[in-house]
Amino acid sequence: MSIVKLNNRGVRSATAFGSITGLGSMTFIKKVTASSSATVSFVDGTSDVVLDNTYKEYLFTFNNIHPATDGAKLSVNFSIDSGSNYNVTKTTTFFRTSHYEDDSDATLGYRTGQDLAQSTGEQELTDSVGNDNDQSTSGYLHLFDPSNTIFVKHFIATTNASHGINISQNHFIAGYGNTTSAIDGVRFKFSSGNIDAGDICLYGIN
Amino acid sequence: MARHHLINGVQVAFTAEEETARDAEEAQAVKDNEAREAAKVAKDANVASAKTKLNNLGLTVDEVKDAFNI
Repeated sequence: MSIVKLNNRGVRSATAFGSITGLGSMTFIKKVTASSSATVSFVDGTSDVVLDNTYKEYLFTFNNIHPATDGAKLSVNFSIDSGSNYNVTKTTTFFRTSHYEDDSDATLGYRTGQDLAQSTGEQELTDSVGNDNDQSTSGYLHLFDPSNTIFVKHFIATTNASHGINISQNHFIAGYGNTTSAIDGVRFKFSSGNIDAGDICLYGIN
Repeated sequence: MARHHLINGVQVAFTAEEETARDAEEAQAVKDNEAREAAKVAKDANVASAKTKLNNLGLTVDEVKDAFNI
């Protein structure tokens, strides 16, 4: 087999390039902008939202989610009945790194109070988020194969938040919805108060 | 002001039952925050007390920090 060395001259002289196929794709589905909203949810089947077997993986991105209430925690829950109930049983892990703006402390630790063991309750995605005008949380959540009816539903999330007392906190959350029913709804909210502002986008990945 | 859900970008007003449930949830969140703050204050006090006692035993600040990470 011959080896072709690609250099600047070769690229400049090229008249056509071959195509690369089979790389998969990431498709933008929906952007929702919170405005003093108690909850933000994505439910399969309306307003162009797809959350079914069209994609094997779904990605939610959070951009500058700002709480109305200082110290509120962003959380997620899942629905298997098109958003009528958000109460999927979950087992999860949660660990966190922290670094104070004044460099007075830096920590890494597992958070036993923020994981779940077969609970239908909210899974926290952050610790306390400050509500100063310049404070917020951003991050992402991957939900794998939500429409699968054989396996549990894995998810992995990472967020970074500016804590009310000026700490950068990076949260690492993972777990599974312990259900073989299809998940067709995902809801985000704060532990207290509204989501004052921020964008949540949904993408499908194949 | 009445709360609303934002479902796929569409505002849906809370029902009266949902308002009541959310009020209770937020009240519990306040209690949880207070409990967490109290626990942190207690822990900080314990650490400070331990440092003082160790210093009184003759350990230097650096020895306490290196040996106990406090």
